[in-house]
Amino acid sequence: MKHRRSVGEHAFDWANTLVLALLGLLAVYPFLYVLSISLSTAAEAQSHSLHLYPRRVSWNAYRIVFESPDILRSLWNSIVRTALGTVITVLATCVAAYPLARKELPHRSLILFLILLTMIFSGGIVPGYLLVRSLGMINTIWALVIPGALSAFNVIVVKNFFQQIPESLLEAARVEGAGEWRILFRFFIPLSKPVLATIALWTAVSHWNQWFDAMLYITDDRKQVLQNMLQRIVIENSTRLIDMGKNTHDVASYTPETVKAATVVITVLPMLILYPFVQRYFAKGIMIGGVKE
Amino acid sequence: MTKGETSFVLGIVFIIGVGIALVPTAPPNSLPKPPKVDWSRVVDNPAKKLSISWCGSPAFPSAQPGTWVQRNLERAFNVDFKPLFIDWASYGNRMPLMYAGGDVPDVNWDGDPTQVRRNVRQGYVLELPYETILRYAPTYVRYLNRYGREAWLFSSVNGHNYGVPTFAASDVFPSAPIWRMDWLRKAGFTRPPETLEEMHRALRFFRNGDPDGDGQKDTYGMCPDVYWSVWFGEVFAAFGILQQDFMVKDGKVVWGGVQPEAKRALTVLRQWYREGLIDPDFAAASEGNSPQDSKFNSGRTGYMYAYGSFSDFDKSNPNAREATMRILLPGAELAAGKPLIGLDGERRARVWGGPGHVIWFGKDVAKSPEKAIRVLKMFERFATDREMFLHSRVGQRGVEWDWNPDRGIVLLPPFDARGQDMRSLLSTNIESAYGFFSPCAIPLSETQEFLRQGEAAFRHQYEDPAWGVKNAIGKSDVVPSSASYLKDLRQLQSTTFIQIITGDKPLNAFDGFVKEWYRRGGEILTREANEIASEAKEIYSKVGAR
Amino acid sequence: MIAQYRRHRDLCSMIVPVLAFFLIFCYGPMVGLMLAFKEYSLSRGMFHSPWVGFANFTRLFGSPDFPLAVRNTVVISALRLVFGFFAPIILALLLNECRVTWFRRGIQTLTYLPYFFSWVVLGGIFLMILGGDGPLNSLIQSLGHSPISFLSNPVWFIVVLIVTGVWQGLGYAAVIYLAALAGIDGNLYEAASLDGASRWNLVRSITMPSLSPTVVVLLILSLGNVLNAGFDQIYNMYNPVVYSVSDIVDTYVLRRMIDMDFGLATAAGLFKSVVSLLLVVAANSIARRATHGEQGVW
Repeated sequence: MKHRRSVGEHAFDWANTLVLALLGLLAVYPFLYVLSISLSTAAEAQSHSLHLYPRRVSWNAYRIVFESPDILRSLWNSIVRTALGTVITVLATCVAAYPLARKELPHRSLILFLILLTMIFSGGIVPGYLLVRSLGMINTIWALVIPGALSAFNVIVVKNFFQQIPESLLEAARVEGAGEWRILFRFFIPLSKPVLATIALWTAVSHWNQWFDAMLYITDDRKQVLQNMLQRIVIENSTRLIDMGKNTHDVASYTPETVKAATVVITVLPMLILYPFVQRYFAKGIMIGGVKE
Repeated sequence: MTKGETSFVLGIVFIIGVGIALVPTAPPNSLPKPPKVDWSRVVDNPAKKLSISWCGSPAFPSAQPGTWVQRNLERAFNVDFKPLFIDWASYGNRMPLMYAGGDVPDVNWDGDPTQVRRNVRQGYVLELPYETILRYAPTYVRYLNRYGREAWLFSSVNGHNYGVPTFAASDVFPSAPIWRMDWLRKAGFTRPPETLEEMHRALRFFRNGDPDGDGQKDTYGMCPDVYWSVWFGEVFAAFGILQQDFMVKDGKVVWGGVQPEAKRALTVLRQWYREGLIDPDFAAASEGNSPQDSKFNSGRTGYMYAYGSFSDFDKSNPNAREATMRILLPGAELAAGKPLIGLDGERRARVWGGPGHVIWFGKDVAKSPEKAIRVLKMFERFATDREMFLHSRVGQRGVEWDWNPDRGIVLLPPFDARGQDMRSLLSTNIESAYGFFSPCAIPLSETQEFLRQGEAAFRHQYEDPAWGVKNAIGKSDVVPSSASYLKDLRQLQSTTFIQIITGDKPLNAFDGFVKEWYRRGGEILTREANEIASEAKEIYSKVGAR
Repeated sequence: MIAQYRRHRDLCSMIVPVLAFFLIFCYGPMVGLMLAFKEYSLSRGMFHSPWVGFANFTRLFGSPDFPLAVRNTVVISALRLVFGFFAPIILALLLNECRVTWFRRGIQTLTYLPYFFSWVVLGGIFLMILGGDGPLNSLIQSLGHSPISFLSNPVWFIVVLIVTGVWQGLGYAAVIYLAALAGIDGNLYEAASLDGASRWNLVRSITMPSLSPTVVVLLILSLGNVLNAGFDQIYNMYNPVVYSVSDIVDTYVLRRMIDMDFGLATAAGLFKSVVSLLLVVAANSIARRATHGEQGVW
């Protein structure tokens, strides 16, 4: 049926489109800005403008960043950390969520309560460090992927999704004689792709962006991750080291701003590449997870 | 949850609560004493190989164990170093955790007296009497006394000494302000301003005279560096004070920022701000995001303060500030200036003045105290054996570095690659206090040996140590209560000063600030600073410092 | 009882390692919460340090900075709630009303992009954009106004915190509402418009009511978060001039830890946890009462 639109509705549609377009622009502008600065020459980066695009492209800033010898290694460390951490988290979350989704589990609500409580209470930085240390994980990748492998939030989200899977399917599987492990891996996990993709994405994003734990647990430069390494490059380039006296600055042919911008671009690039592949799962996943038990 | 489960949870909570309420409590501050060593009985046998874990200055984060510098020292002193490389950014957060985990390296580096006191209080720092240091490293102590005797205050806690202070020979020189000479010439100057009045005139032209000739009023006079030690330091110094330091006035130690002179300096700055001479961005700066350099480099301001040195004007270095500026801003010409002549006719500039940091020994050294002796012997050797010292800083001449009369100490390939110096534990700045294994440095001027062409003249003209004014007690956080008050008071002061300068607050807000400063802990700090100052005399006499 | 475990052997075998994980990595460190009641000495260790009862808490509330940090935290959270909570709902409604599918998809994709970046990165970007030489101030100046100190004026800084915070979470939060909107039966709209209802009427009488359950749940969740004012964001954006308005509980805890005043740091953290717990429980029971037991997080 054709809906006849009034003048007012037409006006609204136009206004709406305009507002949305503006919002879209606002959302990407900061990234355009850093991209443009990172590719600018020193003189241009310092000029007053909106910097939507570089007028003359210069790769100097990127050269500076990649000349730093540890950058590629830390990039690799970050990739490994993200991949390993994501796989561990997704698998562990499934194993944790499945029994909790089943009403037959003894003490189910007590266990749920105990898990929920960890969302609010934590021991703090020092006891956490002491634990990681006593497990011998300092300076290993395990310090970055194990302590946070399971989060109450992820477990609840996946549990809620599992609960929406029809009971009849469970019965059918059971008639076939499948055990719980088999039911989980053969039926539940394949049926839960959207939510698992979402969890995977959340985890990957947070692993990629995490720097605080690496700062605490990784002292060996060869094991350091990208975020921390870039932070250091930014600090070394843009500030004299406090107290170090006057001989530390080395005024070179790039500006600290362009280097800073280039490091930012390098950090966000992998996320941008990953983004189109996962985003169709993403929207679905949030709606499943975010709403309600 | 079922009823049983709920009561289980509540029961646990109840037991914990009762436990906390009933457990006997000890009075606070009942902390343990650090381990003691009878140093007079310790014998160090040089033939015995010692294994020493070493957490040195955080200036070499990307180094790895096994550099030539390390191996060479290991051979010379018959030790096995286990170095631990930490970076500045994580130093504050990570070290407390390491110590909390019981990992206290044999040798530790602390930049600030606050950290030393904190660590001493926690009971894992070894006491090290003056006699021991004097006995094994007399020449080192002589240098220390000459350049940075205040550092002895950093290692002294409650009348005991807890480590070896270090010194920074380069910090006795005030640094030169840098001016845009081409702009100054347009304003009719033939040399950089030397008084407050001249400076005012120059800045006014920078703002209003369109010095960059683009027809737009887009330049400012100045934008100060954010760090408190240099923030508007030239103006405060012209009024005879160091705004964020303890200084001596009428025989008493006082805080510079609450003196009437500070108010007079603020009056001037407030006027300058109103005239638009100060870039408004100065107020938004934070550490790590200081605008002074970028403003100056981009030609938005014509003056910068406190980081100028001979290197900036080094004609032979294509990366020197002056050369870079010529490329960035065609026509730009830089000139070094001298510190301003104050209202009383004295030329003055704030300097750190030489006291460096503290190297202390961890509790485990008590088990084999000869480690500390070996380290002291090593420091003594650095002070007496120039070649050994250079080896510890820049490696071997002809391999890692060579001397160039124009450029000074230059690293040779492959060590000159970006970041390679840091990874190889090398630093061409041999005057600084930041060697990893060698914390002291003999100033170049003492031998003239490594001064570049023109460097001695530059220092003589622009960086005369006689102009330097330093904190009366080395660093303000020497006072015991600084941990509780100093940071907040610094913040209160910088916030208030910024608000007064920008006109957000009236000038007489200063008087209220002074009262609040004293009330919020300033009184305690001042009293303790005076106590330290009188205690200092005693310490200096014990170590033979004049 | 034991029979019950045996019957669900597989389920138990799954849950045991999970429980072990939470026990070790979440409840294990919680033992450290006892430091809140101790005078912690490193050389004595956690267990042998002397108990001091509630001395740390007395000290905490006796100092000027902790109450200030609590106040700042609550103020920032409240502002986030007031301005940030409804923004994504509005965005979702606008997107829902947009009829050009590719455009709607495109905008939606763009608006949740910022969610993917850490505050280390975003903080760096905003410091550049909002600085005096940054593009925003260039724009303001070219319009003939004097530049604004976004980062050093305490009021502006709070505005910046709130706006950039909303900006980052906007698209992401809108997705949740869009999902709820997508679940509305299309026949409802059809029937109503046959009856001659205007588009505004449709929004008001069909769209909004179907959103309300989602809104209630999310509101409760954010109430429980009142003491989380956004550590990552603030830590990466603040500077000394605005400490007085932006020092929050989390930054306070970190600072005390660096001072190695572990007792005080732990006490502050524990205080935050307990208050958060009470808030969540209270919010949940309010929601249940308001909706006659239908709504609530649990």
